[in-house]
Amino acid sequence: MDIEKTLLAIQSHKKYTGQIVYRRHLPGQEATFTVPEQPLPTAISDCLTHGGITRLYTHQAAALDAACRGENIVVVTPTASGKTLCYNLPVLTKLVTDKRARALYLFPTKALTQDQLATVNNFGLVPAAVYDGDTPDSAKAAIREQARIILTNPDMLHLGILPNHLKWHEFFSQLQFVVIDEIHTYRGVFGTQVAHVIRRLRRLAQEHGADPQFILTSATIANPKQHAECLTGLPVTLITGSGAPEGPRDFIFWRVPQHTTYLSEVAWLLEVLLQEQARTIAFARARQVVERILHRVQLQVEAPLAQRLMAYRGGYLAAERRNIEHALFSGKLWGVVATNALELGIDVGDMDVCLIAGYPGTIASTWQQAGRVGRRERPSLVIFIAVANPLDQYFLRHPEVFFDKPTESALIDTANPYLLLGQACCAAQELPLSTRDLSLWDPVLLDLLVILEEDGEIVQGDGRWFYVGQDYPAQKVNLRTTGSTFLLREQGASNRLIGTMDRHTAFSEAHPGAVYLHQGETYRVKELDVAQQTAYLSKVDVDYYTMVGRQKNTEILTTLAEKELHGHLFAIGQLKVRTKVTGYIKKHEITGQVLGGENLFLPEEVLETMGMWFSPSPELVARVQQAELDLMGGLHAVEHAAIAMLPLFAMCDRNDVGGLSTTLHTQTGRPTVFIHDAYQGGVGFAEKGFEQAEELLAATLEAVATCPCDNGCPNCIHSPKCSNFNRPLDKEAAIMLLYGLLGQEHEQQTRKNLSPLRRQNIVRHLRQLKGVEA
Amino acid sequence: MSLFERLAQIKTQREGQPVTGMSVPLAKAASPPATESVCSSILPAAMLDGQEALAAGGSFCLRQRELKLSWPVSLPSTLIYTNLELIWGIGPVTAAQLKANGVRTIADLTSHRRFGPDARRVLDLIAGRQAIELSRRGATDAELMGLFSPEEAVFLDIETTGLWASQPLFLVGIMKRQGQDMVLEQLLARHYREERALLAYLAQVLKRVRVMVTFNGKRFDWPYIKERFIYYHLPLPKEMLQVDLYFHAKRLPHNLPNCKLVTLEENLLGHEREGDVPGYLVPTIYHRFVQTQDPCLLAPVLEHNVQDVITLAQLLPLVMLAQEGTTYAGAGG
Repeated sequence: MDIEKTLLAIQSHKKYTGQIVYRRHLPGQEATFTVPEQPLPTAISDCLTHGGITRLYTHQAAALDAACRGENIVVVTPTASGKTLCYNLPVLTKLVTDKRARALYLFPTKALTQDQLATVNNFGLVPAAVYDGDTPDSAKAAIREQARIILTNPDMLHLGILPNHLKWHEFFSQLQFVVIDEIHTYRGVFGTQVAHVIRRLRRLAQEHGADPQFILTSATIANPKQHAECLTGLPVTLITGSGAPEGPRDFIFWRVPQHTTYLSEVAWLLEVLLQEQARTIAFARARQVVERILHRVQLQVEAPLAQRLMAYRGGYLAAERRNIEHALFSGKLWGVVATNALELGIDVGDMDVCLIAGYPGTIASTWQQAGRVGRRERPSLVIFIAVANPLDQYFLRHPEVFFDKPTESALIDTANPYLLLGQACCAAQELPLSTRDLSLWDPVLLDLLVILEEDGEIVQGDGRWFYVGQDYPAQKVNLRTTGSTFLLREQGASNRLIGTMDRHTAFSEAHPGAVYLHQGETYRVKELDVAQQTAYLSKVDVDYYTMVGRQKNTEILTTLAEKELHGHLFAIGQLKVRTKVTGYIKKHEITGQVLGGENLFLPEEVLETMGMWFSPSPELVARVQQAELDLMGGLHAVEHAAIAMLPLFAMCDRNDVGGLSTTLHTQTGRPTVFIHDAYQGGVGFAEKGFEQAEELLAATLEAVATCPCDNGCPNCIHSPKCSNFNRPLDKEAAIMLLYGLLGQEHEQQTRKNLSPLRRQNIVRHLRQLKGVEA
Repeated sequence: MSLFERLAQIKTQREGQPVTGMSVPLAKAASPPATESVCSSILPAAMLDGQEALAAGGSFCLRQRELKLSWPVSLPSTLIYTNLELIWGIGPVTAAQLKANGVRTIADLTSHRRFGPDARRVLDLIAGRQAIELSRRGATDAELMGLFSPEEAVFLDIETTGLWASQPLFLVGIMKRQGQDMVLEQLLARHYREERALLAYLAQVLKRVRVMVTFNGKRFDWPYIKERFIYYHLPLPKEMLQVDLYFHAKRLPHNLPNCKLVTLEENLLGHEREGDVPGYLVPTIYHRFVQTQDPCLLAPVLEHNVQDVITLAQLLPLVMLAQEGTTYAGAGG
């Protein structure tokens, strides 16, 4: 594909009005090779030669060398850089020389597991097998005995393998390597749970006489080494610097014109690309969006050409997906519109163009999506289409963030007592805990054992803690969700199960009267049975959606750290957040007009979590009030925008974090903004916000001050999940507060005379500010 | 009280304690609470009505008790020969046809054109008392038990500190025939560290055993025992015929509320236990016993185990023969 010709076709289209706001040409690189310190066993090098590999890329050799020295390693390289050899080579080298040695591979998804089984089997050197929820019981015993590489996922390890470790004695006693792929996906609650599962694994392996070495891989994040060390609890060597060849790549940032939707932009881009016969993957964030994009293109494009494009997402049958993958690979299809279901591990052959419709949530996954095109040395084009939210808009103004040193950290919190409580039961059930084991976990474990003993789950004796509960504790701990699960059923004779959601989401999205979208169908909730944890829905045809309002209050339980920045108070600590859903409103689907509302009477929810808070100094507050701006509206807007920008620093979703602002908090005695983790016990997001408070607020100011809207919009201070329906908000007050919080002079401007020139000055000013910080 | 609050409370208590405790919090927490009387030494076996026993270099407590019980059932060793369906290719229809044609036992088929070779193979299995292989071919427990003498069978029930074999096992009740009576041995680990010796002794006992009668032993007791052997890196005891009365009881035509041992005992034997320990308390009681070495704690658990084993023996004829009645009648006729 000729990039320039394709771009010309786009730019000469009648709908092109200058949407390209930034273009970065990445020249690509030649392959660099290194000879490993020790030659590979001939059996392995023969396999490689057979597959056309005669030399190792620099990073592959570095990984092999470090692993052969006995180090734990984390390999950070881009998509399609031959990452799997980084773990397969050291593992197979060990396994072909030590005939009893075994290895365990962990993957975040089942699709990746199957894919990697094929890769391992291509070597054909040692028996390998997948052991997961789909493995038939009849095959399990044989796999346990014979497979020398077991491929599975953390959930199966937690639920099926560790609690039955005595059946796995032979495997555990010979366990030499544990491979954990894609560790940047193990973050937040899931990542924290996985970190505990890995500690349980290490403890049992030791009990059976083994001390396995860890090989991990990660996408590019700010803290790969630290994250790997948190996950495993071991020192880990970082391997970076890909030696794999890369084709030239053009990265384009696309601004959606006003009064147009990003869907129609994606649709006409796809139309042009199909006509150009450019092989294209378009990524969208939601399943429904994928279908809507495809539908639009099909309306716009003639039949034979339209058939060259298909959709790909979760929820399709496996056979259907295999067909699409095959059609892409063979070139029968030219394009696919997909969710991130296509992101990991699935080989779709050589593609040219990647459309990213909406920021996928992390820079790492943006690169993973971009990495699906231009494999090997093919030139490729990536177009990022920004949608209406502060982060997307921020990237339009700061494309360099994508290409500079990564800012986002994968975070876990192994000291979260809520998660450790359940994990402690699992560990004790697997093997009585001894004082020696305590060093594997956070010191809070000791106190949790006291609590478990009070609750009769654990009995202490002879310096050990024995599990005496009556159930299977691993079953009570779901690695990927927290809290109780609510069922959504279609009201009727069979009460068909539509889906599930957690308690908190159920109160916000499945309250009586809520309109709920599922697989393209619209339902209304008839009844929410809190005791039975079930919502009953029925299909309806309505033209409105619903939003809940909440009453929230935040109590500071403990202040863990405090600091003063430019005279303002910043703190981090344990919070108790009480939330009550009080009612909901109906808004028209298209106009957003409020059509009515109802009160709701639902039980209060109590969240104990970690939160950061900040209180502007009385002087700053006085200045805001003197300027006759709305202090409450300003604090509220700062809270929204700061929450929206937090994912730049902490890999999380807006829904992982909550907030509250008030003009007077009884405990701080001052106006205060709280930002807290949305999970019991917390998982480190708010802590990151506290650590990098200044950077966070600078990014927040930038996002708010440079947004061209007048009174706030979804691109800056509106939040889609605001419990006060985005009222009150005062953008001007927010800008003043943010300047003040950052210790910057800000000449108060009223909206009327904020000319385009003035706005440019603000941007220039902010750039300078950023330069000073750097 | 919320988790954060409880943790804060524990922290306060910890900080309120003398400084000596603070310097080594791990060691402090590891030692048992001071309020309980702590025994570092192990209770003499005599205090538990037992004797010290040694195995694999360790000790444990062995309680022996002779019981005026007769062997519950005597099964004819010939029973199995009448089960023609042990031969591959013979199902109920063929078996009925063959019987109608005068074939009475497997021996009658040794020169049969089609079934002869496998009939001879089955006879070899019977002669070699290959219970597991024969069981796989569909031999019933009653037929198989007939192949063994009462001296080769045991009734067994274990008490453990959990439902999964990752938790210690501490008591094995095992009853066998001795002369005209029965003798019940209880192998008791008075401390977790005695479990290994207990298992080593059990391995010695099981060497001479060919039939194990249990209640739910196929799923619980036997795998549990084997996994404890794995845990201690002891050689696994060999497989033997498992006669699991739970499976027999489940197939009984009855209208009992459930198939628990105590329910069967009450309804079929008319026994009523008084002051029996609920099973879920057993682990906690045992852990406390290990701490305190107080024999009073353990007495009800030991008694509970005795009752369970005796009940096994009493239930055997009722649940097994009730169900195998038809085969029996066939053998008689």
